[in-house]
Amino acid sequence: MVTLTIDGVEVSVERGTTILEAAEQAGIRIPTLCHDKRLIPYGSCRLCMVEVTARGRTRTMPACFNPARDGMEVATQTEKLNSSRRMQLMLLLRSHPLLCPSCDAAGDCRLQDLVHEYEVGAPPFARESRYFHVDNESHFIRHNMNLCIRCGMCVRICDEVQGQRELSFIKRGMESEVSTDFGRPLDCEFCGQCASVCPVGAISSKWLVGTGRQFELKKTDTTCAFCSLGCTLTLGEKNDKIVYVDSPHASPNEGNLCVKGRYGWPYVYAEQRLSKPLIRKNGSLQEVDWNEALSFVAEGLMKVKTASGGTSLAGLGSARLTNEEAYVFNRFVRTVMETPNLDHGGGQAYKPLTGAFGPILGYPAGTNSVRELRDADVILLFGADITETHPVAKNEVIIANGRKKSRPIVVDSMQTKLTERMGSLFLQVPPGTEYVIANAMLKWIVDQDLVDKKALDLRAEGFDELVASLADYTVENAARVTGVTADLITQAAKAYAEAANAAIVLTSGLNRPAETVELAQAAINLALVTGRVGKRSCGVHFLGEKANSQGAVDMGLSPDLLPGFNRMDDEAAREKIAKLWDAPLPEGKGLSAREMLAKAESGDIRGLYVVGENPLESYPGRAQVEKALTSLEFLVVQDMFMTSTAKLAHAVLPVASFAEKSGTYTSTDRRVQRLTPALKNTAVKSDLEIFTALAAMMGKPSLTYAGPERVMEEIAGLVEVYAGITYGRLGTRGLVWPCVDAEDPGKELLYEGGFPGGKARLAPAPPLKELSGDGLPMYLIPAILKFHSGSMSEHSASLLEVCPAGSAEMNFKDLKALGLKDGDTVTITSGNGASMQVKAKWSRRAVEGSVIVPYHFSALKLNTFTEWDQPVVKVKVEKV
Amino acid sequence: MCASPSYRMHFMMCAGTGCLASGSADVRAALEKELAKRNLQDEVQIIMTGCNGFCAMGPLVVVYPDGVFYNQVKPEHAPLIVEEHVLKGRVVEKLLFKEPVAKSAVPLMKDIGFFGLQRLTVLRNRGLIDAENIDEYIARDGYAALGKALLEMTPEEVIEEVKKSGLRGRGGGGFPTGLKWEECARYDNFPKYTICNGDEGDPGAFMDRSVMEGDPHSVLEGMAISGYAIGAHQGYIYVRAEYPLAIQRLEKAMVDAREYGLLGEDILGSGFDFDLAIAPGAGAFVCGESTALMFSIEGKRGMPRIKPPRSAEAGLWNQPTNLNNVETFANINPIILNGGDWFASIGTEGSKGTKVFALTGAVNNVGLVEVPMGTSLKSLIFDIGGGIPKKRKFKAAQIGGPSGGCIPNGMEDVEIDYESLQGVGAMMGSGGVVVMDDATCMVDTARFFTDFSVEESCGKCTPCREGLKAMLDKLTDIVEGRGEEGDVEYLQELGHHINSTSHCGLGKSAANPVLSTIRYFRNEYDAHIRDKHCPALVCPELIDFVVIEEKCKKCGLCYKNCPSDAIIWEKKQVARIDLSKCTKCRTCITNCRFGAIR
Repeated sequence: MVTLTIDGVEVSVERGTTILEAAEQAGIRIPTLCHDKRLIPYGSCRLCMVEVTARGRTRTMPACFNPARDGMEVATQTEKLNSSRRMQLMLLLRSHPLLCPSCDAAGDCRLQDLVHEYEVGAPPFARESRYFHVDNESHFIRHNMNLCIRCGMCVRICDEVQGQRELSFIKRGMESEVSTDFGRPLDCEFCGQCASVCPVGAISSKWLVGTGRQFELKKTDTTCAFCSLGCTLTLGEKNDKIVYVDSPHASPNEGNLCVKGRYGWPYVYAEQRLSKPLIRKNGSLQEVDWNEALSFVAEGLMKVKTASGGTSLAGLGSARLTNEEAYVFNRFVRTVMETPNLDHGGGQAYKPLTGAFGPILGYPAGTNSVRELRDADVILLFGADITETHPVAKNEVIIANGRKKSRPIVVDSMQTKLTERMGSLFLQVPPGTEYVIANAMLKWIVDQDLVDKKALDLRAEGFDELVASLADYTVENAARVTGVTADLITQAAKAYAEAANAAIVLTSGLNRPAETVELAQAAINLALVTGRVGKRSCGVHFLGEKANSQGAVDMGLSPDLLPGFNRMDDEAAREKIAKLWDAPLPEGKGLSAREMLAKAESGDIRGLYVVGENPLESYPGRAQVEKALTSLEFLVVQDMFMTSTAKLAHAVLPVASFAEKSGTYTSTDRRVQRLTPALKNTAVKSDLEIFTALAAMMGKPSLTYAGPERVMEEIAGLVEVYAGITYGRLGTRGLVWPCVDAEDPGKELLYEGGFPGGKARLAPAPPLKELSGDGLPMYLIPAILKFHSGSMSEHSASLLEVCPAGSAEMNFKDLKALGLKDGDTVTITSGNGASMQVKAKWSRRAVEGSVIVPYHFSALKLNTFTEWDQPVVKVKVEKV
Repeated sequence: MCASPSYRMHFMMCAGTGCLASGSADVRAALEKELAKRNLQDEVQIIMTGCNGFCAMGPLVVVYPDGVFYNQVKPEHAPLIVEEHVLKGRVVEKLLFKEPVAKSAVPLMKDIGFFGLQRLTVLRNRGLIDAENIDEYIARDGYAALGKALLEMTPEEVIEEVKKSGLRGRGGGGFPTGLKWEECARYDNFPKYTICNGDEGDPGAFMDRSVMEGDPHSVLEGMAISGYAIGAHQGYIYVRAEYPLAIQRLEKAMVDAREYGLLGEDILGSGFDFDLAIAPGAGAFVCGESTALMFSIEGKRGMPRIKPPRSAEAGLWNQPTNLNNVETFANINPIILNGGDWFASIGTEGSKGTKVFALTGAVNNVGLVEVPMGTSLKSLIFDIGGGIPKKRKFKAAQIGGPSGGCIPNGMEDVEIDYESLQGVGAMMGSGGVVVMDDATCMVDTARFFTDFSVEESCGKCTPCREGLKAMLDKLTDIVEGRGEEGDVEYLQELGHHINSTSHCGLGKSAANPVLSTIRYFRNEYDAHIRDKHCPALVCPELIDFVVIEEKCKKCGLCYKNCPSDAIIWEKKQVARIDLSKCTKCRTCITNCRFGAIR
C-alpha cells in the first residue's frame, strides 16, 4: 500500500494504482476524455494533468497513467491546471463542428459537459474545418469522423477488449482519423462498443439517431435475455418505445455488451410477435380473447388428466423462463397437471451440469465467475466457440491474452477467433471427441506426476479408479482417434498443468449433444487433479446457452429434480415441498423430453404443455418430433412467436418479452439478477400470470402469487443456496449463490473451503470409443453464424440485417476439390436420407473435411439430419 | 591497413551520400582510367571511404602519404592530378582548399581549420577506411573493444566503465548511457533486446547517416557490447528507409561480421550469442521517439505510448529493451578500449566526450564536425565553419533541429554542452546546427520549424495535434500581415501549454523554435505585427518593394534579373518598381548588393 495526499485528502491505495484511480477512491474527480476503466491508459487528451510534489519537486503530469507513490502530494484543481484544461478544451473545439443543437450526442457528450463545466469561452484562435470520412453504410453503427476528438477509445476497446481490431488510426497529426482498412464499411462483431465508449457523437448507434436525447429517456436497468452471461442492460425508452440500449459501467459485465444485447432487442417489436391467444377451432388456429383461451387450455388439460391420468400429461419448460416462472411451472406441472414428466432443453443442454458437475463436485454449476478468466494464464476451451455464443465472455479471454499473455488452448472441430491469438494452440478434433483429448491430457499429467497431490488427498476421492480407467487414453491413442498430433496434445497438457492459473471453458447447447457429459467429467477431473478447483481464475466454466440455463436447473426443470437440486426420489424433500405446495407430489421419476416424445408417438403421453421451447426446430430427429407432436391429443404452446411447434398446437398463448416482465435470471456465474419491465404490453401476459390463472381454473387456487417477488420469497425458503436472496438485496449487480442468509454477500468462487459432500468424487473415464471410419466423407458441424441464437434472433430485424440466411461454410481446399466457388449452391445429403440445398461459402473457420451449417435458421431444418442417438452426422456435399 | 605494400600512394575518396551526389563515383572512374592509361594501377590505390565531413566541398580526394587535400574534384581533373601529383610530385594548386577568410590555399588536410580543430572519437575512422571492408575496420582497433569486453570483462564491469565515462545519450535526451544499461540489465525477463535508433529525421542533420555509412562496424560493435552488458542476444537497427546506402552498408557489415564470428553464436569463443537485424523505418519523424520506434518495429502504428513501464522494463514486444542512438553506440569502442576515465577527461563537468554536429545553413564550411563538449558556438561557426559567407552577419544558430531553439548573435560564446544549451533555451538534440545570417527572418524560421512539427505530429495528444496547428495558423497570419497586438503573448501561452502538456519529446519541445525566437527576436515579431514590415525582407507580404533612392547605386542588377519586367530603370537612373507587375518574388532583393530595396 502507498499513502499519498490528494487535494489535502490522505488516501492509501494499492501499489500500482494510478493517481487517477487513487483520486477516485478519495472521492475526487479528475476530468478525462480518453480514460475508461476497461482500457489500458493511453494519455492522449491531457486533461487529467495534475501537479505532483514529491521529494521537494513539483511537476505536472497526467494522472491517468502515472502511478501513485508514497508521500506524493497531488493538487488537481489549481488555477494553472484549470486554465491549462480550458486551453486543452479550446484546442479540441478548434476543429470540432459546433453543431451541438442537432447532434445526437448532445446531453450525452463528455466534451460538451466539460466545456460547460470549465466555462470555456470563445477561443483566441481561428476555428478550422476539416473533412473526414462519414460512414453511413455499416450495420447499426454510424461513423462521423468530423466529430472525433481522437481519444482512441473506440480503437482501444475494439482491440483490447473485443479482440476484433476492426478500427485503427490512419494518417498522421491533424489528418489522423479512425478508420477501417481503406475505409470500407464495418465487417466485425457489431458489438457497438465503439459507439458506446465514444465520448462525443463521432460514433453512434444508427437506430438511436434522431430518436431522443438522454435526458428525455426513461431508463430501466434489466438483464439481457440472450445468452447465460447475464449482462446488465439499460433500456432507454421514449414514448413507450425502446430507443437506447447500453450497459452501466458498474455492472458485472463492466458495461460490455455484444451485438445481441445491444442491437438484438428489436425482436420485441417484431411483426411476428403474437399479440392475441389462439385456439384451434375447426382445424385452424383462431384468435380469441384471453378468458376463452385460458379456459380452453384448462379444460383441455383437465380433460386429458381426467381421462388418462396425470402421467399422460407432460410439460416442457425452457431455460428462457425466469427463476420465478420456472419454479411456478415446476409446481404447476407437478401439482396441477399432477405429472412427474417435466423437462427442458431437450433434456440434454443441461446434462453436463446434472450429470457431471453435480455428482463430482456437489453443485450442478460452474465453479468460478467469468470475470476471473482475465487473470488466467491458460484458458482451455473445449468445443467452445465463445466468440459466437458468448461474446462478452470471449472478451475476458482477449483481455487475458492481450495483457497477461495468457494462452488460449482451443479444442474444437472448427477454427475460432481465439485460435488466431498470439500464443494459442488449436487442437482440431472430429466433432464429439473433445473428451478424448481431455482424458489424454489428464493421463499425461498423471503420468508425468504433475498432479497436485496435496489437494487431491485432502479434497477428492476416486483417484485410483480414475487412473485405472485412463489406461487406454495414451497420447498416442488419442492422437490416432482424433488426428491431433501427439506433440500438440502434450504441449496442451503441459501448458495447462504448469500454468499458475488455468481455467477450462465448456459451453452447452443443443448443437453440441455428443459426449458432453463425458467431456464435462474429464474437464472437472483435470481441474481437480491439478488442484484448480476452489481457486481464483481457475476452475471449470460451463456457459449455458440461454439466459436462465442455470436457473432452470436450480428450479428443477428436469424429470428427476425438484427445485433446489432436490431429487424426486428424496422422501424428506418431497414431504417438505408437498407441504409447501399444498398438494401431494406425483410418484416416481418423470419422463425426459426425448421419452415424452417417444411416448407421445406411442399414445401414452396425450397432452403436452410447451413453454418457451420449440422442439420441432431444435430437437434432433425432426420427422419423429413432428410425428410425436401431431399424435398428441392436446398441445399447448406458450411463446412470443408463432413457432413451427406452435403451428401444430391446439392452443397458443402469447407471452411477455424480457423487456415487459419482472423476475430474475441466474447467470452462468450463478448470479441472480433482476429483470425489470421497461415496457408495458397489455395484450400479452407473463408466463407467471398464465400459470396462476390456469391453476385457479384447474381447481388449484392455492397456487397463486402476488407477483414474482413473492415467488422469490418462497424459493429462498426452499432452496438453500438462494436463502439470502430477496429482491431488495439484488440491486444492480445481483447476488451470487450460494447466498445462505440475509447477510451473505454470496460466493463467486465455489469450493474454496471444501465440498458440500466433504470430498469431490472423481468420475472414472468412459471407455475410449474408436471412430468408425465408414460413412460419408464430411462432418456436418452445426454452428452459430454471426451471433444468432435462433428462436429470438431470427425475429430480430437487426441481426437478420447482418446475416439474413444460412450458408454452408467450407474450407477452400474442399471447395476446390469439389470444383466449387464461393456462392455456388450445393446439396448436402446425409446417410439417413436428409438433404438440403444451400449456398456454399468459403470460410476460414471450416477445417478440411467439414461443412459448417448454422442450426438457428429454421428454413434450413438442420434437425432433419440429426438424431438423438447419432448426434454426429457425416454428409456428402455435391454441386447442384 | 591491409593494402598491398607495393602501393606507394593512396587516394582516399569520399563515398558518403553527399560526395556521391556531387559525382565522386565518376571521379573515381576517371582516376582509375587515367592511372591505368599510365600503368600506375599497381602503384596507386583508390579507396572509397565513408563521409569525410566536408560535404560542401565534395567530391573530395585526400592523397596519402602526403595528406594533400583536394576538393571539388571533377572527372576532367583526373589527368591533371595523375600527371602533376603522381608523376611529377607537384601539388595541384587549383584543387586545393582555400580558407574562406584568408583566401589562401591550404595544401595539407591537417592544416585546414575545418579539420584541424576537430577531435575525432565517433568519427575516428573518417576518411581513413573503406566502409565496406571489415579488415580495414579491424586494422584500426575495430572489434578489439568487443573482444576485451567479452573475454576480459564481466557485463557489470562493462556497465561500470560506461558509467564512469559519463557518456550521455546522443539522441537528444542526454540520459546517462551507463545508467540506462544498468537498469535494463537488472530485469530478469528474457529475451531482452538492444536497439539502435538510426531514425535521424531533423531537417539538416546527418550525423548518424554518416556514421552508419562510413563506419558501420562501429555501430555493430557498440551494439554487441551493449547486448553483452544487458543480457540481450538480439539487436535491431532501426534505420530510416530514406537512407538506402546506410542500410546497404550495415547489411554488408553484418554479413562480414557474421563470417568473422563477430556476430552470431559464440562470438570469439566467449559463449556469448548476439545477432542483429535491420528494421527499415516507414518515414515518420515521430518514430525516432523510442516507444513509437518499438511499435514500428513490431509492425504497429508508430505512436508513443505511456510510461511507465519504461522500455528498460517492457519495451519491444513487452520485453526489457535498451535503446541508444547511433552516435552513442559509436562511442562505446573507444570507451572500452581507453577506459571510462579517458573519455571523462574530455568535455565539461556534466557533458563528457565529443559531439558530432551537422553544420549547415549560412556558413562557409558546411559539413560534419566533431568537437569536444564545451567548445564554444563561436569556435564552431567561425573557426571550424569558416564564418558566414557573402560578408553577411551572423544572426542566430538553431541547435537541436525542430525541437531546439535558436541562439542569437551576442550569445555565441555559449559552450556547447547539455546544460548550457538548455540554459539559453535551445537543446543539444541530435546535433543539427543551422546557422542563419542577417538575411533570415526569425518569424519565418519559427514558422518553418513549426510547419515541420505539424506535419510530423502523430496526432495522438491534443496539445501537439491541435496546439501546433493553432500556432502555425497564427504564425502564418503574422508573416502574411494579419498579425494583431497580443499575438505574441498568445503564442507564448500556447507554446508553454504545448511544451508542458504534450505526451512525448516531439510535442514537449515543438514550441521551442517559437518560444526562443520570441525570447531573442521579439522586435522582429513586433515589426511584423505593428509595422507590417519584415526587417529581413523575407516575408513577401510584408515588403514594400520600394527602392530606397539614397541607397540605390543605379547599377540595374535588379532590372536585369527581374523575371516579370516590373523594374523601371535606365542607365544612371534610380530604379523604380512597378507594383502592378511585381510578383513579390524577391529576386530584386536578393540581387541588390546595396540593400536598396525595402
